[in-house]
Amino acid sequence: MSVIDDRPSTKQDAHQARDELITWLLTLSVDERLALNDAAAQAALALREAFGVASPSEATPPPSDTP
Amino acid sequence: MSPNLVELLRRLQAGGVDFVLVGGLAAVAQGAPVTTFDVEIVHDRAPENVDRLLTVLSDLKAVVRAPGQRRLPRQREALLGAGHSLFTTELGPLDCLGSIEDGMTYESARQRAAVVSFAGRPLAVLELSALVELKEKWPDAESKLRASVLRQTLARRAR
Repeated sequence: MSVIDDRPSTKQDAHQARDELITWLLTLSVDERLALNDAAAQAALALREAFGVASPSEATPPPSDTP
Repeated sequence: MSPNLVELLRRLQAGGVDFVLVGGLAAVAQGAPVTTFDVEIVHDRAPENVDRLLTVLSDLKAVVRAPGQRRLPRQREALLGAGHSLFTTELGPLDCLGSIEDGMTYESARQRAAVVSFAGRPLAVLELSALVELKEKWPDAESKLRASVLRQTLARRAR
């Protein structure tokens, strides 16, 4: 029997999901983490382009967004 | 243009540039679940290192990102100073920072850096605890959220 959990997401759920994501990311090598970031950034920029939103690099830079 | 930050980092390494990776990509390298669109480095401002950096910037067809979409040429003097030089390159945005918050320079960043292996070579990245400290100083909501994610990553790594 399958059980569908239809409770609304809570802050604790989000925290736990993020914890699981971090746990998985920590199993990857640095090269893999950086490659994953490139893939995510490229996908995000493709979406921005599709919706006509300027890419971060084309926007006027803030004084500093570091670190 | 699709960013290729991995290749951008490789080119900096291959060019023999001494730097500490900071910002979002330093957090990514250490397992934080964030996405970033640029490479931010605190570079060694020694003249010979700045010259190596300029060679890489030239190879990457870098131009300065300036307000109003202006594109300015690279300036050696700016890279020798403590300010920020923000570039657009053919592989993505690259921010070369002479110093960051609290006057942190390459030398002081090295003391708070972890050395990881990237592309078979050592890569100095500003450690997560330092990234958290710096992020917590910013009052905006995005920085607070980012600091929270970095703290959680730090806690998870400690377990």
